[in-house]
Amino acid sequence: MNSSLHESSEMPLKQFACLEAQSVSLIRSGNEVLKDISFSACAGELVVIIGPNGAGKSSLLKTMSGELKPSKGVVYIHEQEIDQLELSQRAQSLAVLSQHASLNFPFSVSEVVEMGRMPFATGSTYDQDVCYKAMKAFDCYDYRDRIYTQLSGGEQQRAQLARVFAQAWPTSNYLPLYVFLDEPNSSLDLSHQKMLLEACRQRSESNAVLILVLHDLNLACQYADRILLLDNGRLRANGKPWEVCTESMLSEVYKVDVNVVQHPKKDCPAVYL
Amino acid sequence: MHRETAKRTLYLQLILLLPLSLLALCIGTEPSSISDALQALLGKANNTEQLIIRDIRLPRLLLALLVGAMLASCGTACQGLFRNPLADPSLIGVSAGASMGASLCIVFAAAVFDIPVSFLLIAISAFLGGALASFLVYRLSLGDYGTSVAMMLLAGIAVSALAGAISSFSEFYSDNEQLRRISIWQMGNLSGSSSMQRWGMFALLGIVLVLLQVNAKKLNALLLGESEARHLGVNVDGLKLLVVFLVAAGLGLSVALAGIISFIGLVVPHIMRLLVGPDHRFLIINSALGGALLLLLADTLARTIVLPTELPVGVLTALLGAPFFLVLLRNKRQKIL
Repeated sequence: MNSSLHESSEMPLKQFACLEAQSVSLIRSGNEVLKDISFSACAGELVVIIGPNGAGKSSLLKTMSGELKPSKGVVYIHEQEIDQLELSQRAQSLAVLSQHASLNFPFSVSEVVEMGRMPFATGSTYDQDVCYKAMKAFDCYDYRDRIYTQLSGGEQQRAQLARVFAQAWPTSNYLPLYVFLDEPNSSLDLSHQKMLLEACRQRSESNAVLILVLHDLNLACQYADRILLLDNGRLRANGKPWEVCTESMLSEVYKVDVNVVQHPKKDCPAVYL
Repeated sequence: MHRETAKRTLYLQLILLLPLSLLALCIGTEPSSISDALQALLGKANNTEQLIIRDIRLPRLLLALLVGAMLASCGTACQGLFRNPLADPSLIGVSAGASMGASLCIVFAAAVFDIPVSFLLIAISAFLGGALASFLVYRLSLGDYGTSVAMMLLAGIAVSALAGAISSFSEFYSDNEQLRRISIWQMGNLSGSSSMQRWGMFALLGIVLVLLQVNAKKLNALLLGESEARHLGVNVDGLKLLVVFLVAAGLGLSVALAGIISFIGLVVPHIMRLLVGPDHRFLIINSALGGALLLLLADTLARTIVLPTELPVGVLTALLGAPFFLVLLRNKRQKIL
C-alpha cells in the first residue's frame, strides 16, 4: 500500500510503523468474540473498524493494543509480538483511547493532558510545548485550568484525546507511532468531529498507523484509507470505502436496508437509511 | 499552580505542628507550664509535671503523630487504588480485618500453637488480616470499567461483618486478661506504647511514604483507569500489589498499636485534595502531615474534654468523621454511585 514510501526512503523497512494481526481469535467468558481475524496496516494508513453492536470492534482494538491476549493467533506491532514488548517501550509508541474513560478525581485538564507525557523523559519544557499543541489541536486549551470532573462529556472527551495525542506526538526522528481510538467521537459535535478526523489524518502522515472504531459510516467513508467491517466476530470485508460500503454488504451485515450514493463533493460513498 | 499551594500548605502544617504539640504536652489532668514542657522535651524530669510530660504525654503525642500520618497516607493510597475518593481503610473492611487478625492471634496463638503472644506476632497477624480483607474487597468491587462504589461499600460491609463475627468468636473463647487486651484496641487507644514500638512505626511510616512518593506519578496515571495506566507504561499489577501490601502493613501496625481509629484516612485526604489538588506527588506528604495534626488534635481533645477520665480517641474521630462522610455521600451521589 505504501510501496512508494518504502522505495523512496533510505531508512530501513523496520523504521516504518507496521502492525499485523495473524488469524487472531478471542474467547471471552465462553463466547468466541473474534474469529480468525487477519489484517495488516502500515505507516500513513487511517484504518476504521465498523460493524453492528457487539460485533467485536472494541475487542479487536483491545487485542491489537495488547490489553487482551488472543486465544489463538498473534499480534505483531513493529514486527515484534506485542506481548514481547516492554510496557514502557510500548507506551512510547502506542497510545490508546478506550471507550470508557472514567476519572473521578478533580484534576485540571492540563494535568490530564500532561499524563500523556509520562512514558517519556523529554524534559518539562518540551513536554509543556507538546501538551500546549495537543490542547490547541483539540480545542481544549481555553479550558485547560478547569476541573475535569466538572466538564461536559464532549469536553472530557477532547481532553482525553489531547492526552492520547500528546502521548503519540511525533518525535524528531519520526519513530513509528500507533494510535488506537475507540469511538473517539461519541460525544463530539460536528465541528469537533471534523477536527478529530483531520488531526488523525495529519498524524497518520508522521509515520503512524491509526485505528479508529466509528459508528458513523459517513465519517468512516470520508476519512478512512481502509475500512474493516466486522460482523459477529468475523472480518467480513477489508478494503477501501467503495469496496466495503456497498448496499448489499451493509444491508446484510446491519440487517437494515441502506442506500449508498456518491458523496456530493468527495469521491467516497455516502450512506442513507 | 498546584505545586505552589502544595508547598505553602506543607509549610503551614509544619509550622502548626510546633504550637499544637506544645499545647498537647501542657494540658491534661495536671496542666503544666510551657517551660516544664520544654525541659521535659530535653529529657529532664526535675518534678512530677516534667515526669508526666516526658513519660506519659510525649510518648502519646509521638504515637498520635505517627499513627495519624500512617492512617492518612494509607487512606490516600487506598483511594488511589480503588480510583475512588470514598475508599477509606476503615469503611472497606481493612481495619476490621486487621483487628480480626489481632484478636485471633491473642486468643489462639498461645492455645493452639503454644507460642508466647508477642507484640510482633500481633502486628503480623493484624497485617495478614488487613491484607486479606483489602484483597477480597478489591477483587469483589472491581468491575469491567473500574471499581463500583456500591460494590466496594457493600463488600466492605460484608467483610467487616465477617471479620467482626470472627473477632467476637475469639472474644467468646478468651479469658479475662485476653478480653481486656482485645477491648483496649477496639476503641482505639494511643497510650502505653514502648519506644521500640514507636521506632518500628516510624520506620514503617518512612518506608510507606518513600514508596508511595516514588510511585506518585504512577498512582496519578492509575486514576485514569487501569488500562489507561497500562498504556502509559505503568506495571499496574505490580503497583496494585505494592499498594495493597503497604496499606495492609501500615494499617496492621496501626491497629496493633492503637486499635481502630476510623475516618482519619477518609477526612484528611479529602481536605487535602481540596487544598492542593489530586496530584499524588503533593498529596501524599501533605495528607501525612494533616493526619498527624488531626489525630494529635483529636487525641488531645479526647483526653481533656471529659476530665478527669478520657474518651477513646476512636470515638472522637468517628464522631467528627461520620457526619463529614455523610455530607460527602450526599454531594457526590449523582457523580460516583
